[in-house]
Amino acid sequence: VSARPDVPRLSEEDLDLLISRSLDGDLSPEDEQRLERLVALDPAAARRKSELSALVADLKALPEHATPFALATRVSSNVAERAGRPGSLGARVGFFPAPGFAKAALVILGIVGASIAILRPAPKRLAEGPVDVLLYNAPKPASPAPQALIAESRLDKPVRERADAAAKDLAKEKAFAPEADARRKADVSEAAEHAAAGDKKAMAKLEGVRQNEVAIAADAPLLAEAAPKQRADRDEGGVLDSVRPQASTKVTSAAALADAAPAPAAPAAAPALVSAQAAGALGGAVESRAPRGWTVSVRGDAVRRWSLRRAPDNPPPARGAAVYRVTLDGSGRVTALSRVSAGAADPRLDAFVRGMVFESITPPAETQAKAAARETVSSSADFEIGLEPR
Amino acid sequence: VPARILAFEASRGDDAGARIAPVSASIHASDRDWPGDERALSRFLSGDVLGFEQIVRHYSGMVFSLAARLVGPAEAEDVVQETFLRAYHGLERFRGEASLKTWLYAIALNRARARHGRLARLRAVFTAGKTREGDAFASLDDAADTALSPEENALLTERRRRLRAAVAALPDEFRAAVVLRDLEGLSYEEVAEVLGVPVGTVRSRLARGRALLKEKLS
Repeated sequence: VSARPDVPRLSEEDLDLLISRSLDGDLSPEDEQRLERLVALDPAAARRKSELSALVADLKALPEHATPFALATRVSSNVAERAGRPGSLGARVGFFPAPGFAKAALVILGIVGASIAILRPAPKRLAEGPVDVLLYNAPKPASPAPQALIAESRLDKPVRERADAAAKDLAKEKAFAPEADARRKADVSEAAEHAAAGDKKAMAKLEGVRQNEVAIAADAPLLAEAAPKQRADRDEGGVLDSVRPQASTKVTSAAALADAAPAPAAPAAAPALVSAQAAGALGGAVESRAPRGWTVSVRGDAVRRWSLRRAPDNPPPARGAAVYRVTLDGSGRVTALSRVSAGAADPRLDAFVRGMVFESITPPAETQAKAAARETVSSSADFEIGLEPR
Repeated sequence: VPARILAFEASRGDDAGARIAPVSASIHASDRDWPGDERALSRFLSGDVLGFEQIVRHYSGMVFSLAARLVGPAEAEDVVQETFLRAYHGLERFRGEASLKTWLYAIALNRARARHGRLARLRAVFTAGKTREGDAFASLDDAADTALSPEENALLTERRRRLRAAVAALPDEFRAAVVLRDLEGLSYEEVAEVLGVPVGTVRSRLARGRALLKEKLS
């Protein structure tokens, strides 16, 4: 209960606000009367008003700083000079860089650029990775994949032709020396069976049987090494499409021997070996180390959409890996190609790649709705293939 | 001076030679020739630099006074330069919603705030404990009053120094309100325009600023 109920009670802040407004003449006449009554009844309020009034009077009495001589002239000319500079674009948008700003900005940009270059994440590895699809002129498996059949039928042809030619030669030889021929034929057959099983001794025996000095034995380790690998490849059943190297006639016999060796159960193996052997026996210049063939890999996302259907019969000799980027038309034929990998241009290899034919892979569980999209995808394609010596 | 005027002329208009005479005349003209905000502005916006010259001549003293009270006379001229440079580039966007005076004051206040912040940090580093607070705001105009005795003059000078120091030490929001109202004599509405706040906020900031000032001086 106030001892002076007739005096209105105000907080210090409210009193200061009233006094401040009163000093500026901002109070209404009613509020001014209320303040006067309060000041008259409350000595503390009166003292406060007196102090603030003196303060404001002192503030208003503070002398102004004299304007420097010719300030307007200096300002005008200075503004004109700075406004005429090319760098005033920043000033137009309210940007006044401090001295050294450009250098600092350059240093910061350099640091940021170097950081980006250093910390940039490595390029993404392909999720699918290069998928090698192989075709080899081995005996036909029990249920060959369509692509394998297509390629095999085409790529076996030269071997078979040479085998037939060798058989004819054998027949001629047989007419002149029936006994020797029978013995040699038996030896060859026996050696072929053992060689097919990877037996080195059999190869040595075969070496003895041969009349000339052809170094087919040099391929024996290759045969032994290739046999389990090719068998495993065949067991996996996932490898398809490859280009069998038919680089030259000289290579063929040795390559056929290598391919025939690991499949003793297949009836086509022995004739191939015989043909190869016969070619050697007849003085065919068989090389001791056959150049290897090409493995064609479809890379990137195109792995899911395209596979090699067939390739030209006469691939150039394999000398090193090569990567091409090819563009296909709707039928899978190469319409454009560019060599991605470094190295000297090889017109023969270019022509070989240009002759490849691909086919679209149709996912088995694809729905009707997705078929239209697939049609679009199949109409053309642009992807990379890799050729690696095998 | 004429060379500078020519440079200024060349930066604004195509026909510099035709405007040499009026610009030179404007430099030496008195403030009585002030045509008013609207006419000076329209003159400037029509491509005649004389309009901007008139604006500079009319307002540079006021802007300098405000800047000197906010950052001290030593830095005030730089604030004035920056203020008018910004005004030069921004006048085309000036819509006349506020008066030209309050618009220029608002620019000056912002430039002074930016500069004052930098200066305060530099002073804190290089002159800590070596100078008295408020010395940067001392004015050559604190001349001795011949009607007072030397002792009274000394007391008056000291009181002004303490007052300026107290104003300079106020928090920024209160200092701006007190300077604009009590030192520059702007109305509540003008202070509100310069600060960009409602008039009620100006009232409360003024009351609070004066109270703080009183505490600092007592």
